[in-house]
Formats: sequence, structure tokens, C-alpha cells
Amino acid sequence: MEQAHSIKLGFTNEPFPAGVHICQIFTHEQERDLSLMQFLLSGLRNGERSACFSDEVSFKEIERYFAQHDCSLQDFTEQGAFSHQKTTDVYFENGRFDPDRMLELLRGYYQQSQADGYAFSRVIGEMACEVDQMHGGTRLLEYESRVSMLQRECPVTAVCQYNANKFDGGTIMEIIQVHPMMVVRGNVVHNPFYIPPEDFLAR
Amino acid sequence: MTHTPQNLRADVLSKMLLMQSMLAQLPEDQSIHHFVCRGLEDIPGVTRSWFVSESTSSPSQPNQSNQESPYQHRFVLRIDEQCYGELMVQVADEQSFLPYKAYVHNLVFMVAVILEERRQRNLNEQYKKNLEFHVLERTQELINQISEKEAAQIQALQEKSRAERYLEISRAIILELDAEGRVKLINKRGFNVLGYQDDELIGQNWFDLLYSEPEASQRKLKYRQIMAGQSELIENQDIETITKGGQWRVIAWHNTLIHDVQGQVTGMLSSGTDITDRKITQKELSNEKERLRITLRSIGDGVITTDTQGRLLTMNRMAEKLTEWSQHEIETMHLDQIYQTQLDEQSRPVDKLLQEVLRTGEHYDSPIPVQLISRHGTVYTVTESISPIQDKDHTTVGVVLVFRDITEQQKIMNQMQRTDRLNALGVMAGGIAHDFNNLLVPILGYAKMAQMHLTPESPIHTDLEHIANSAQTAKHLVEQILLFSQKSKAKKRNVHLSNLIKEVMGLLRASIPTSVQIIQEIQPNLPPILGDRYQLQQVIMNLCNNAVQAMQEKGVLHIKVSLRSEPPKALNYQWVDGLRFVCIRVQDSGCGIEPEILEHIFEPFYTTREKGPERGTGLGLSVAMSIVEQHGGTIEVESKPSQGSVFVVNLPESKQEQKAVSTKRSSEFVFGNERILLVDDDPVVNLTGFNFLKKLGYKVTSYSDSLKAKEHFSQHADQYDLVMTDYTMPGLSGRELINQVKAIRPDLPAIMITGYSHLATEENKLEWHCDAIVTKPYDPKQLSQIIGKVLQGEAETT
Repeated sequence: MEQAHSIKLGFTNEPFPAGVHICQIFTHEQERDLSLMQFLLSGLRNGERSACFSDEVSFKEIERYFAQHDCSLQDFTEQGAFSHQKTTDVYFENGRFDPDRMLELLRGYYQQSQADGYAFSRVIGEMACEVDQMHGGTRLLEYESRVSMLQRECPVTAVCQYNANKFDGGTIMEIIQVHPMMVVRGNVVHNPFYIPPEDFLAR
Repeated sequence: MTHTPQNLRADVLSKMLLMQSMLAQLPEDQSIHHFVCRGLEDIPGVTRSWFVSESTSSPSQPNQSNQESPYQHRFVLRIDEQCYGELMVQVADEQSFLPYKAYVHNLVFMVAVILEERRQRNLNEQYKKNLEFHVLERTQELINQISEKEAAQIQALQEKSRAERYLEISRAIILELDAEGRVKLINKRGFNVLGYQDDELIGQNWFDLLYSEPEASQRKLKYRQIMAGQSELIENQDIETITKGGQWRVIAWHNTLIHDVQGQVTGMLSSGTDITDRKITQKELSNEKERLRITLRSIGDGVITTDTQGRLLTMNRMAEKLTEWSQHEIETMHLDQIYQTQLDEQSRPVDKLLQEVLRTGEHYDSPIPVQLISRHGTVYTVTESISPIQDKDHTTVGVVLVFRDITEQQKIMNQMQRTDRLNALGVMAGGIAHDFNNLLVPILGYAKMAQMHLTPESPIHTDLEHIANSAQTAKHLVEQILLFSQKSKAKKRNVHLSNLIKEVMGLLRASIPTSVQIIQEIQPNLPPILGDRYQLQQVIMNLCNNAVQAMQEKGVLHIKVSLRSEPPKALNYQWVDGLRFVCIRVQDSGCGIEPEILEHIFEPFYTTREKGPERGTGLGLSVAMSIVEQHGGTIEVESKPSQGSVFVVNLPESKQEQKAVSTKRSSEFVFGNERILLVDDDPVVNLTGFNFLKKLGYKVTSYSDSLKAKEHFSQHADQYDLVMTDYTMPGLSGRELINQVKAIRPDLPAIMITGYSHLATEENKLEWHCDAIVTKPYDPKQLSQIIGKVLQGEAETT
């Protein structure tokens, strides 16, 4: 396992080791958008390869935010530092949710970043509520738990966004349990509900 | 059992706090319930947690939810009097749970607070909406309660305001003058147009301000008279005005008088429209119309416009000239009254064409020229086209007829077409003539040879003479064909036409009936023309013979020869100033020529003499035309049925000085015994020649294959005294054969024989290295003389 280095998440000043797995439960879209853009701007400015999976936030919107901060998202994209894809395209390829494929994707993303000379890499994505209707959608918690396990060898920093208006309270509580850290009212806190993957997966 | 804080686990408390923190983020009550229940299951001792709504928490389910058992804890979600159900927590390990029970109470209370806050917020929202609704309702009532008087006042104010607004935004100038002519009111448009400010106009005398003397005084006087009722008000008037900036404007004024309650005139109210731009446009339009009118009148095509009913509107100068109607006469007339054409199967009357153009809206071009008959009967050949005239909305408002006089062009075109036909026929005739000449060789040759065996008294000798004469006539016909096809090159020398005419008339006189009177009128001292005497003689003979035929042996043949300095019609080369023509005018008093025949008379093989012994060859006039054109001249003809015909031959004067040449020939056969090599690819011609030469005493070797002949000669070159060869042969041509023979025997004389009479020239004789050129069909006697001369070392060409 690599030695963790401190990085900034963008939406909080507190430094964190690279490769943290954070859950953000949000109610308002502005809250989601701001966190997403701050996270990406912070990462790219820090020289990290950064990826965004979102159905709701477009490339143009991010580009506009970057421009307001004197950065060119187009340049980052052309350099290969940034990529933007739709959640449904990435997570639900061929109409199914496959945690194994997703984890390999994440692993590949990290390894390729390393190979391309990026010291750190990060990813932020909003999970679509359609996941529970997808084939394999019941394995969402398994996936999230295994992400934490993968990060031990591939410390890619990951922020998972969930819309409280679209997911039921019970589901949200379960999601919280597979994320070691979470954002509460703009602060990143260690999650007391967190169940380590070995324990969670053993259930 | 007592529980101390020391028994509490920090992580459990953290969970409780985290849940509290997140409650507000969950939008729905049910979502909160699920979140809390799921979270509470992580509290030590708890096995299950569920929510019971107020409606379901009834005494009918005491064991399940209404009562708290040792293993079941019941937390009521209540704040003040408001209850939001109950949270049930089932525990397996009471001891583990109990330290946290108070915290669960707190959490449940927080849930209740949040739910109550949301309820209160919803209620407030509802109250607020209700209040707004009532305010609106009351406002509406108040509005409705405004008295009619107040409403009327408001309306009056609004109307006044509106009127002022209209006045301001009006595109017309609104002007009110008092009885003295002072400005009482003028709107914004007035200021803008005249270039004045508000205070510069109000109270000022309108006429002093806007007009210079003496116009200002005149207008003031007139205005005072109107105010006094001494002069009539002019209601509508266009007045030229100078603005403050010195610009010229034209304003169309509408004036009305203002009266007080007693009926006294107190002033004038006027509305004015600035029509300067319109006036400028009108002037430009007028200028444009004038330019168009001038252009229209100047163009070379006739142009007539009509309305959709065919009523005439305009016509240009050329249209006036061709129709012989003038613009001022056509006002109430229709197009078909002044534009009349000769109708046939291919043409339609103009009114039909006009209707078609109006119906289809499409341009019409006449496919063929039409014959326009003018007012006084002159016929013009014209091309015509009709187009619809459309306004800016593409509505057809009339038609324009454009027609072009192509009478002269048509005449030239007809002549060119005739020339083309002649040339085409000439090419064909030339081809036939060559073969025909070959056929005549044995006829003429054998007839003459057969005569050599007989005495002139023999009846067979006479028969053979007829055969020979017919062959000679046929030869003459072929020569005419070749002349016509321009294959026969004229031998041009200076010819004095006056002399020629006298000679021809001398010859003709003998063959023309005495009932035909011949009048000669020859201008003295005419210059010579450059030409072939015999061809020109033939032209005059042909014209005079035709004239005599037309008069049916009775009438006057008038021959006139004169000089003209102006270019004749249908000249096919550039006219040069100073060039003069000698004209031969042949006029008869015969039957004349029908117009439909007139246009064909120069075509070869066209003849009107179809019956009887005088049937023509149809070549006379075409050959005459061909000869005259080869001499750079023209033939003009004028003829009307029953009024006789006039043919005028125009020939350019010669600028050369040449000597006349004597052409005397011997009339006897010339015999010999020399050795002759004869070569002709036509076996019949070859055999004829062989037999004839043998009869003359010569030793003859003949070949129809020129290559074999050459091969033979190369081995027996010393055995010959003369070579005679055909010109056109396969394998080795006559020219090549002579060249190769001369290469071996440069001293050997050679005679070229050809069916193309135009090739028989001195130039060709030199170029071909031969001593004589003889044309087929040759006259045997003449040929014998030529052979004799060539063998004696005298060159000759026939």
C-alpha cells in the first residue's frame, strides 16, 4: 500500500490523505454543484487527474465555473487531466450495474493515471436513483464497500453524491454505512456508522 | 440499574448526533422515519425499530405498539399538543440499550420538532396564500367601489393624456393659428420638420417666420382675408417651405377654420404632411419615365404596350414606322387593329397570342418570322415576342409586344441558304462529272475511230457523227456542271463586255425569231472586267435565251450595259470605296415569274420548261450565277407575273492590263509511228485509247496497273518515245508515275489525262513535269494533234 499524502478536497480547507472515500448526501442542487466543481478545480489545480460522472452537471457548467476562476477546463481536457461522462453511461453500461466492472474501471483509472505521471487521481460522481431498477442494482452497497477496500491499494480519492430527494431515508442510512467519511453541512466528518468492508461484506 | 456517562460509547453518541444533523436534509416525513429507524438499529441492544403512525397507534394493538414491554420501548413523537406517531424500539439487551434511551428520547423529540416546524411552515405558507388571496379580493372590491364620477374623471384624464400623446407621436404636423396668424399650437412633428424649438414658434407669426418677402406679406394678406370671410379657404394645399436650417421641404396642408361659440372665425387648424420625399420620388420617377420614353423611342425594335384588354397604351417610333400608325391615333384602339399579320398554318393572330400570354403569364416568342402588313399594305418580315407586364405584386397588368423588322436579313439569309444548296449540289455534281467523262471517252473515241473506216458519204458515217455530236453535247453538259460546281477554273483575262455583248447578240440574232425586237444600249468607254470570255458569253447567252423563251417568240429584249459605282445587293465580300461595276441589264417583256418560282430559279436542275423540245436542263441560271459569283459579281432579278423580268449582272471592273491570246487549231488528224506507253486504270478508257493510238499508227503498250507499268518501264525505258497516263489511279498516281519515269528518262515527253478540267492549267503542267494536260473525254482529233506537237517538242494544254 502506498503512503498516503495530504490533499485538499476543495469544499473544505481541511487536508486529507489521498484515497479517501467520502459520501455527500445533498438536498439542494446548488450544494451538489458547488461541491463537485470545487472538488474538481482543487484536484486539477493540484495536478491530479480528475474525473466526473454526472447526469445532472454538464461539461459546459463546469467549464463556466472554471472560467470564473481563470482556468480552462478545455485545456485540462485536451491535456488528458480531466474527463466528464454521464453517470448512466459509466455505471449502467449495457443496462446493468456491474460492481466488478466498475471496480476494474476505477482500478484502471488509477493505474493509468500513475502511468501517465499523475501523483494523485480523484473522481466524483452522483449516483442515479435508477440504480435500484437496474439489473445488479441491489449490489450498490457491496460496490461502495469494495471501493473502500480497493482504495487501500489504489488510493484514488472518491466522492459519492446522493440526492436525499431521490433516495429513501433508509437507503441513505445504509449508504452512509459503507462510506468511511461523509460531508455534513459542508464539513467532512468521519462516519460513525461506517462498517469496514470486511465486516460489511461478511454480513 | 444506574448508568453513568462512563458507560456510554462515543461512537454511539456520534451516531445519534449525526442522525440529528441529517434529519433536516431528508425531505419527507416517511424518509425521516426510515432513516431514524434504520439508524437506531445500530444502537447497542436494539434489534429492531419501527414507526407507528398516530392513526395506527390504537389500543387495539396493545402488545405490539401501544404498551412498553421490557423488550420494547415506545417513544412518542409529540410537541405541545401535536403528536406525530410513535417510534417503537425492540431491544434484546436491555442493559446495553438503557444508557442510550434518554438520547433516543432526545432524537425522537428532535424528529418531532422538525416535523412540527415543517407543519408550521406549511401552515404559514397556507395562511400567507389565504391572506394574499383576501387582499386581492378586497382590492378588487375597492376598485369596483370607485364612483362613476371618479371613474369618469380618470377616463377623461386618460383620454386627454392619450390625445396629447397622439399629438406628440402623430406623423402629421398639427398647427393652430390665431386670427392674426400667430402660432397657438404646434406638435412635436412640426418642430422636427421645421427645425425649430418649442419657444421659437409658439406666439410667433407663422408667415413672418417661414416665408421671406414678398411671399410672407402676400400670404399674410390672404390669411387676413380668409379670417375676415373675404376669401375662400383653400382646404388642401401643397406649400414649399424653407426650414430653419435652410432646407427645402414640401408640406401638404389640410386646413379648417376654427369658430367660437358665436360662430366667429378665430383661427385656423391645419394638419400637414411632409411630402418632400414623395415629391422628389415623383420627380425622379418622371425623369425616369422620360428617359425610358426616349430610350424606347430610340431602340431599333418596334415596341407596343397594351392593357389586359388589348387596349393600346404606348408605341415607340419604330412601331409607328412599321405599322404606319402614330401614338396619338391609337388611344382607343386595340392591338389587333394596328398589328395585322399574314396568317397561315404556322401563325396565329396577335389577339390570340395576347390572350395566351395573359392566361399563362409566360413569355411568347414566335417560332418563325411573320409577315406584318402595315396600315398602307407594306409587308415586313418581322420576328415578334410578347411578354406579360407584371406589377410589384406579380399581377399581370398588360403585355408588351416587341417586333423586329428582319426583311433585309431574311432576303440575305434566303440567298445564303440558296448558295449553300448550290454548293452542296455542286459537290455532288462534280463527283458525277468525273465518272461521266470517263464514260464519254469510249463513246466519242470509238465513234471517231469508226468514222475513220468510212467515207463521209456513208449513212453510217452520218449516224456515227450523231453519236459523236451527242457525246460532245454531253461533254458540254459536264463542263457546265463542273463550272457550276466551281471545279473548272476560269481562265481570266481582261474582257470588254461591250464587245462581248455585240458578239453574243450577233450570234443570238440568227437564232431568235424576228418577232422579238432586240434593243442594245451600251454605255461608251466602259472599263474591261477580269473574266473568262467564254464563261461570260455563256452567262449572256443563258439570260438572253431565257428572256426569249419567256416572251414566247414575241416581245422586246432590252440589253443595257452601264457602269455603276454603288455596291450591288447581296455582295459577299467587303465593299471598297472607288470600286465600280459593269452592269449587264437583260430585260424582257415576257410573262414574268411567279414569286414562289422566283426564289428557286437559281437552283440547279430547276426548270419551268418541262414539256416539248425546248425542255431546259435546269442548269442555265444556276451556271450563270455560279460563273458570275466566280467573277466576284452578283446577279439581281426583279420580276412580276405578266410584267416581264429584269436580270442585272454586276461584274467588278478590272485593274489589270492583259493581252489577248490566239487560240487557232488545226482541223486534221495527226498520225505517227512512235512508241507510246499508255496507262489508265479504267479498262474501257484504256482500251479506247489503245485502239485509237494504234489507228493513228503508233506502237502502243498499255497498262491498267500503274505499278506494273512503272516496273515495265524501268526495264524498257529506251523503248518509248512518249508516256500518256491518267491522273487519278490507285497504287501509283499519274504524277508519281511521271516523276519516276522522268527520273529514269528525263528527256521522255509525258502527257497527263484527267477528268477534272479545272486541273488543266499551265501551272499544273509545270508542277507535274508533263508536256501536256488533256481533259477527258478528249476529242480524238485534238488528241492526235497534241500528241504530234508533244512528240515534236511543243508543250500543250487543253
